[in-house]
Amino acid sequence: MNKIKKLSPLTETTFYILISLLEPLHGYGIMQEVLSLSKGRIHLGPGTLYGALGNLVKAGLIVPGEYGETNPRRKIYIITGLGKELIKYELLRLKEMTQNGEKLLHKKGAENGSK
Amino acid sequence: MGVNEDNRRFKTVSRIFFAWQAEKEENWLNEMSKKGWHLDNTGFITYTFRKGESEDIIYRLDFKIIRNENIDDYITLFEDAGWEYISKMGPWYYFRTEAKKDKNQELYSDNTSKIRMYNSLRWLLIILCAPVAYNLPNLYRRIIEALKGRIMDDIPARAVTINFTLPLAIFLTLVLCLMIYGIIRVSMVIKRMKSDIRE
Repeated sequence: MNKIKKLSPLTETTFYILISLLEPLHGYGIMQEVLSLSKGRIHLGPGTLYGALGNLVKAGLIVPGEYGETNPRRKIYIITGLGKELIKYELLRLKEMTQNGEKLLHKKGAENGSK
Repeated sequence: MGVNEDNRRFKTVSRIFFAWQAEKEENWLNEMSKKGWHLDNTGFITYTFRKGESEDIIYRLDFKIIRNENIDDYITLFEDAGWEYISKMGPWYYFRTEAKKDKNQELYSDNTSKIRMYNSLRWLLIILCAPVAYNLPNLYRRIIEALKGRIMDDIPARAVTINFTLPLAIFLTLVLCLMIYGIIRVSMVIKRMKSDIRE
């Protein structure tokens, strides 16, 4: 749990890479998945993605492995148990954020907001 | 036949860019492509270009220290993402792609990861600096001792000091200054990026 708290909060990019790896994917597969999940908003650069994958492997959140990819030049990755725990923790944190934001905006934003 | 010969024309240009001038180098390569000279290969301070049509090509350099067995995977990812790999020069990898309007054409899509790249470049410079900085005081001590006259009677030792040790010390001092300047310049790039709080 301590390790998870240390890794939180994740950047948006890291969060999307992690959830896309709930199924095994190679680098380009991750780019496409993140692009479609974010409705075209997050366009991952290959330099950014390559660096992020290395860091996620080092942190023990994803692992490279053999998952029937035909081209041996492409590494395939999948999320680890620790990675899944981290996603759950992040989801709770993000839910708290949106709930608090909505609650306060509803209560106070309505009074002093738009005229 | 004449056209074919044209297509096969190559030229090699010598030009020095320092580690903190990657953007300048990218722009220069872009200008060359607009003139119809497309980068074909890179050497230590040389660039080989192949003559072709004038095109608007975006060049990007990536700094990466990478194990040999991972290079294929690394390059394949960039190729999948639409970047053509041209060559590498030490830890610098050269990529290019056709310029397209309204499209983000950067290797790094966020600041954090770009800062990481420059941080590893800075580390490399610091590591390379260390042995030079460590040995220089020794060299100067020997030169000073020689100049004080302690070994002035010893002709061969004096010759070695004047002809070898002194020039070496001056050369290494210049190298060290350049590297320290490089570290400062890279640090400035990092600082500028950090002031931009977007991820």
